[in-house]
Amino acid sequence: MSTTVKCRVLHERDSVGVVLDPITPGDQLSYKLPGSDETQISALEDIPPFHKFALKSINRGDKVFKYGQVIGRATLAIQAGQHVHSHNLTSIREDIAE
Amino acid sequence: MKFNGYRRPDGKVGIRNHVLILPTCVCSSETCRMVASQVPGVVTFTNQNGCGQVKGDLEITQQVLAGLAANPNVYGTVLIGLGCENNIPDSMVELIANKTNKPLRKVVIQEEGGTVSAIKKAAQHARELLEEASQVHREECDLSELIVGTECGGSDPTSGIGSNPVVGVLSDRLIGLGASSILSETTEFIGAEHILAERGATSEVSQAILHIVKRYEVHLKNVGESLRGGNPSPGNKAGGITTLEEKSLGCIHKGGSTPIVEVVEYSEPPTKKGLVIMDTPGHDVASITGMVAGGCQLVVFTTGRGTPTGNPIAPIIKITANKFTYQTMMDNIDFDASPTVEGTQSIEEMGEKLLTEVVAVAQGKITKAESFGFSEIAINRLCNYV
Repeated sequence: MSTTVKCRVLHERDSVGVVLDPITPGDQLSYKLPGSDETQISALEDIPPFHKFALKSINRGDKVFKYGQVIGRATLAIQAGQHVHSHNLTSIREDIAE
Repeated sequence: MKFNGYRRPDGKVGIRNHVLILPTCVCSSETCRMVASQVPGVVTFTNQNGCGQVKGDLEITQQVLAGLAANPNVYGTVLIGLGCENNIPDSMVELIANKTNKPLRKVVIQEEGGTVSAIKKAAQHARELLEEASQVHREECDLSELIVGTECGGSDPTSGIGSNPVVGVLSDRLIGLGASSILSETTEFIGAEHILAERGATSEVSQAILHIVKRYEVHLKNVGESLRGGNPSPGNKAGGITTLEEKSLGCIHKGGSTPIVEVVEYSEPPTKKGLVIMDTPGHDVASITGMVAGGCQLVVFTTGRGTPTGNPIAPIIKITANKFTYQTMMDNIDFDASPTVEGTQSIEEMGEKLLTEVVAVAQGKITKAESFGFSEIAINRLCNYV
């Protein structure tokens, strides 16, 4: 049986959201942006509390958005509902630009 | 808004009434600790620097030490030097005297003939200053006298969503009341500096914001290093922060929404009222030390993972918006902002509640870090010891 869990999405431009509790596959990740209807995404894997999940499919090399801003680049293709963290997202700024 | 504080002879207002035992260098730090143990009620700290430093580093150390002695939370200072250090005790006395006319005594270990004699003399000074300090009483002061430092450490995603925005509201409210707020941690502007630069009150301020970020990156590059691996920390990552950009975008929420009126160097006192940026490292203790040396009387410190950090001179209010951390780290956390993450309380309401807590602490309410007597400091550095 799937459980509906409230999550947070911080900006309409974002490609990731934030879970507030431990998530298991099949949980319905539910969020609402101001002025929009409630949206649900099915979690595809375990996600620890406050970690990120993809709101939509993200191609390898795509910029990833949170707070409406770029937080890095996807190093793998990511499906909606997958956990987004160090295994599939890398910084653009940590290495000093030439 | 009014509160009860300590009016100093230099016109500034303190929220604590400390007697500081100040080590000029690492070699006198243990003596300071022993003096402090003889005279309970005074504060001291370990100073790792003060000798074996290049000119630029020595200047940072001196500015920090003089700034700590001049901080309005300090009634007066007993300075203890060794006698042969780069940071010459008489120069230190002069630097402090240039900043404030508060009571200042000096003891030099080599001149006193060793540890025991130096401790005896310094303990007598300390006892006298403590007695004098006990006769200074709080009086009504305006909240506009406050400079509040903002810091985040052991961050996780709840910092960027909850506790940092709450501190941002606090910053806006304080500035609205005529006070100042300092946004610190230059390394944690990286990836978000374009947003801060847009908020400069003048184009010079905007340029200065971009300049301190670039300068930091170039500094690291010049010693063959980059930020990768150092920031975000392992704990930031375990908590769910993946990249430095993500951390920075959360971090800068502490600065609220007002214009940035000034950018100051590490430990440099602000000259303008409002939101000020100080160029400090992401190293929490070094960042806080810089702000307190710059005159800030109180620090609000957000955390996701939970941290114990204290300061010998300024109270630190610890805030988390992580509901799990608030439960597990209750020994160390003063303020629970987690309802903002859950969405059961607004950021604005919580910011107002935090303002009430700040006023209570300004009037004497003891923070968790103070109750443990935590007194760590760290002084920023340019390069290796010499």
